[in-house]
Amino acid sequence: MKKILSVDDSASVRQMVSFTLRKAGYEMGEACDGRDALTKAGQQKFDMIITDLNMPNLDGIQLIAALRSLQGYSFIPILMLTTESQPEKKDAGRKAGATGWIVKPFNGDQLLSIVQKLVR
Amino acid sequence: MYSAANEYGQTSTLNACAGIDHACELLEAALATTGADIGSIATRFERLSTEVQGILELTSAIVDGVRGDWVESIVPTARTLDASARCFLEDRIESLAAISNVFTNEAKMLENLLSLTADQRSIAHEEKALGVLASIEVARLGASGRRFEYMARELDEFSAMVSSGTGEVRTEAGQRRTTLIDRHRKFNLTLQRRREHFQSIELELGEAIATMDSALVELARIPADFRECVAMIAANVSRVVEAVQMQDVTRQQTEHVCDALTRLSGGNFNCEARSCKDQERRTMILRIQALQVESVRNSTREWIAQVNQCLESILRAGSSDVVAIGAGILAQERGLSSQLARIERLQQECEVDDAEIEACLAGLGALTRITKTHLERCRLARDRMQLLNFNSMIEARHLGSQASAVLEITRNIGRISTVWSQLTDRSGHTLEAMLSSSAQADEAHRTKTRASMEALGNARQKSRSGLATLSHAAAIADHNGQKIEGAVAVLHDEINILGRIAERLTHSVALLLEAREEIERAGDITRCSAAALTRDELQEIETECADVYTSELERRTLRAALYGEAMPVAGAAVTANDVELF
Repeated sequence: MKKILSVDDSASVRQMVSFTLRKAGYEMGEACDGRDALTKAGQQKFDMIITDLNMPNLDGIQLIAALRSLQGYSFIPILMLTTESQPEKKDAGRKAGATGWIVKPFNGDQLLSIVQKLVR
Repeated sequence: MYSAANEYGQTSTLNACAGIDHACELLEAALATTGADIGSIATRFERLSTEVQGILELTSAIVDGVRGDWVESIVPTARTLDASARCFLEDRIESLAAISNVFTNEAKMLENLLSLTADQRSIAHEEKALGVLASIEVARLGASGRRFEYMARELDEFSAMVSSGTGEVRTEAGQRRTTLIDRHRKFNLTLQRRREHFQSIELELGEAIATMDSALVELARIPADFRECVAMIAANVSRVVEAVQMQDVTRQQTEHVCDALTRLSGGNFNCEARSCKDQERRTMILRIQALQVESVRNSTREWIAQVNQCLESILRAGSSDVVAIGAGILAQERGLSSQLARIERLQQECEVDDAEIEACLAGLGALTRITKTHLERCRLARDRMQLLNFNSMIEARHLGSQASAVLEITRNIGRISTVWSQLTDRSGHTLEAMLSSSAQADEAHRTKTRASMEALGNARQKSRSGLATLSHAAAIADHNGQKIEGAVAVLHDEINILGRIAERLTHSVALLLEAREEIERAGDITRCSAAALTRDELQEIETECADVYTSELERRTLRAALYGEAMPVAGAAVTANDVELF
């Protein structure tokens, strides 16, 4: 079973991501900010990470940069899931190593189809 | 020393600050409520969704269970059963009517046989009388009459034999006739009952098939309805997932408003103390916040509506017709099964009828045996009588005039022999006709009813097998339906709690309205119009705010405040679900 880590400072959003993907058979992990996500990613290997951009402690861009230098996370898909849609933010995400960008609120079916496409 | 203007400025500044502080408090209260409530909604909704998933799985099992090809074959199978039963019933009626005719004919033939035996008896009496006359003549003729002693003996023996034979035949034929009349009477009653029974089965079976047919037509509609229902729930669930996320968007939006208001509240609203340009900027910023709050209010209203809509759709699914399918089909199946059981019972009764018919037809056997023995004796008697007649004639001629009386007896023997011969032939024909008629009826009945009974047996077998499958599926459907009802009851409780949370959330919508009004009032107090701001100044404000704003929704609302553009439509987040893979 593929493991996915959902990172967001909003518990409700994490819950909705987990709810959507767990139904499709993924094992879900949750982290409340970038620092928490890094700790969890170090403890166990995830096949994909879906992260918010604006979070306390360590934001989404910083998290991606940190993850890419972490062993085993160089090539795993990392999706940004954020309310931000400005091109410069997307560009920063791309440069940090994000695989894709989804603007909140996400549609369950579409999120699932992207995850299925990226995690095989 | 305070001037009147300064005094007014200070008062209005205080009023504006108090209004802004109050708006902040209201926003924080709304934020706290929606934050806690949306968390609660998310948790409960996940649980609710699991329950709904369970219900959908049970419903899906019902739909799958009643969607097989066999469902479509039930009605044709039942129609075959109906046709076979109809054919069987018609054949039975026809065959029983034929048997009834056989009984009537046999009774007539028995009358005929009895009449023939009556004639035979009178001949036996005549022979006996001739025997006595022959004995007298033998005595009168003395020594020459000894030649005719055998004639007297033969006539006595014939008479005794015929009397005994006809007695036996008459007794047997009489009993047979009585049995036959009794059987015929009962048989006609049975025939009448069977006719009524058959008619009622035909009618009720036809009705049961028609009901089943329309139930199955309804059933055929269910998968499409169910798919629609599942799609509707899925869409609504999806909307709730979006609504929960929208709360996160509006939370950030509200926090940004609170930050802006806090900054403003700390500033100076005194028109005299600050330049009017600053006041105009502040008025504009207040206007922006008022519109941001309005946008939050619209979004909150929208996602509350989405949660409620989803709850309604789930409730509709729970009270769907699918729940009652099992019980409905079971009722139909029971109706058809009871007709099948009636047909089975009827077939068994018909088998009993057949056994009785066979026993009745076999009852002719004893009479046949006795009559045959009697006929053989009669034929023997006829031959011996003809021989006696011939010998007596020769002997009488030898004696000449002395034997005139013997000659007369001999002539009578000849006449009786002729009549006897005719009676024997007629008895033989009557017996043959009875046997043939009985054998034909028996064969016709067996052939006809066997074929239709076999066809009915096969149709019954197929129907029983189809109904067993239907019954099994219906029992599962009923069982699942009951489980669904139980799950729906649990769901109702959960939905009621969610409904109360949604109601509480509408209170936060009221708080948002109040906050917006406070902000607008604070803007009015400044008495400086934002309309005086130039395009460059507006763009400057936009640049400052855009750094803070994180969503397109906020930015669109900002442009609506600054340049009078249309407010973003609530619910449809401007760039929601914008996906880009790098």
